[in-house]
Amino acid sequence: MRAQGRGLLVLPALALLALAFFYPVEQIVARAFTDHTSSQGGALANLKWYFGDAAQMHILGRTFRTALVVTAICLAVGYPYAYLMTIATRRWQMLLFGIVVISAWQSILVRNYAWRILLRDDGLVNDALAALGFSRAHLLGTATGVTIGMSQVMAPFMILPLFAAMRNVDRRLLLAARSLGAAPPSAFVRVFVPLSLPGIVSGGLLVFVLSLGFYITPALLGSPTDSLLSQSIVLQINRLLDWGHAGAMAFMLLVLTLLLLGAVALAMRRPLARVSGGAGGRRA
Amino acid sequence: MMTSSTDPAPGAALDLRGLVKRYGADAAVDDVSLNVPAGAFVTLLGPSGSGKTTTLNMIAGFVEVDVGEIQMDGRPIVDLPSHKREIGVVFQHYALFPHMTVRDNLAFPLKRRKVSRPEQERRIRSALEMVRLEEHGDRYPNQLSGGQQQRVALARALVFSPRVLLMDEPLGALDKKLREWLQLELKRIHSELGITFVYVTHDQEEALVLSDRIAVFNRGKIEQVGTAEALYERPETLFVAEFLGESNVFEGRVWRDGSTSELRTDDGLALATPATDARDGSAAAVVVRPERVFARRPGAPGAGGENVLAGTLMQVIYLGSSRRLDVALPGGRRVQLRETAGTGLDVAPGDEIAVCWRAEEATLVCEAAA
Repeated sequence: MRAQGRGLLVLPALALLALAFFYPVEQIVARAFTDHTSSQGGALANLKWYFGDAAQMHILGRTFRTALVVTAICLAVGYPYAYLMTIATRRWQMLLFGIVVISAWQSILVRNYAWRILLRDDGLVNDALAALGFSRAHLLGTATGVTIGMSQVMAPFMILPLFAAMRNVDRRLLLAARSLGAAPPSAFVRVFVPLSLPGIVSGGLLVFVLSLGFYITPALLGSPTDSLLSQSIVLQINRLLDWGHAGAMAFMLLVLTLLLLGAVALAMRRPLARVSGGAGGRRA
Repeated sequence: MMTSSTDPAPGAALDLRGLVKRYGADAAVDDVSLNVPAGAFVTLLGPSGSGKTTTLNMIAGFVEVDVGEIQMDGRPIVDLPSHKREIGVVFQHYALFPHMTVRDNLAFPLKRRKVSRPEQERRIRSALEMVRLEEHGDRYPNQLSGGQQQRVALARALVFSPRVLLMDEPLGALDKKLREWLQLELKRIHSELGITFVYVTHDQEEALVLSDRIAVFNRGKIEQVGTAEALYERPETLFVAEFLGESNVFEGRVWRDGSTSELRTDDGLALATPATDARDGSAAAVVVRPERVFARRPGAPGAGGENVLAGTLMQVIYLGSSRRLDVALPGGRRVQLRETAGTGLDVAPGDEIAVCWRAEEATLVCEAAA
């Protein structure tokens, strides 16, 4: 009786999900197959349009490429940062943690408008480039600007999972590696990095998937000629009022994301099972 | 079996000289000097926080030495980083790499030394044979039991043929049966390889079983170094007497009278002691092991050179091969006796009995230095 009662605790969350997630998704997906501007092509007409349109394929490729680059930048910036957090003293750890969390708490609009100011042709970034002897670059309204802004917005989603995983790595294994003849860099690369894999995978997935469907930053920092998938979905709905095309695009984004998650889960199942035990043995 | 032909001897001698390690105002290790002969099995024994593990970590290079020197076969190693010391280490928590198979764990130190592939194979096989885990090379650590994991850790620490092996409570996390079996395995491996073993434990029985020599640690210092027998039979400090085995301790002052001497306690006992050259009136203690004490009927005649104390039998504890008697002296002091089964008197709790021991079977511990 009691065990059954416990199951009821998920009901509010389920109800919310059903109302705010499953229902809208169902509506959008349904429109992909039912809401047609022309009567040709049957139920798959919208999908056929999507895959047949070179511009859309181009945008899809650009979206994946941008997400990949953003993920790589976040990893490159986040990994050393998260590592610093794990080895820092408690006080420094709080400070580093605070910087990440506060930047994540800032309104995303505020951060993006800040980037608009920074990336302007006469903005701080270009001033710095000029001061360092480089030529000024056109950043605002370009893919580069979008990538920079998105990397900053996404960095906390990389750093926090990395930190959580790194904190679980048994640092005594590094001593063991030292005693076996590994110099510190070698011990780090061969023991610490593989054991932080769960953080790399979850942080990477989080950033990549969020980047695939990201709207605000590309909209504010990019340009229509460099638009990403979510921008072109908005275009279909807001300008062209074509819910069917938008539904097909959203459906594709959903399917590709799920496929990606499934593939990564499958590929990582075995290595992660080894590592997620944390320490090599039971503690005394 | 796993030593290369260029080595003069399989084991290296270690010489610790005046080691000091401070953490803030506290000295974790306070002027420790110890000579470990090549090929010896030396145990650092002491309660937790006595500095034994810190000392081991200084030998391994995990902890920096504040003051003092460590020499390996006469060469100072204090400034050598741990990955260049060529010393094997076995940890209590095994410290196997969870993302590598047993074979890859063993290959790790060999790859760091750029050992050729066939030679790696050969060494890994012989190391796994040594710890009797030939069949488990392809397993991951989390697929092994605690005892198996520790044997893998041992094989990994030995596979690169270090001349010194350090072990920090390696059996501490295992159950008693397994621990006793692995103790014998360690002794076998030590005699097969002939390398120097330095072993840290807080378990005195383990120290007695394993080692040629034991260094007893207390509060960052070494109290006494010696064979198990020497430490048990001739403890030099009260701490050693009480830490190793059970003992009856009578503290007091020594007074000499010609060739004999006696110890007078505050509660008025006068005990004959073994011969001593301690100054009259100096503080000392008589330590007598329970198995050296025997019981007599009260009033039975004692032999010369014996201490005889009258008391009341409080408790008899049957231990199978022996039994233990707990006797209360009139002042409230307790004396423990251990008798081999079938040799003692037929007595019951409440009986008046006399406890006796021959003066020279006790040890007189003078704490003048302390």
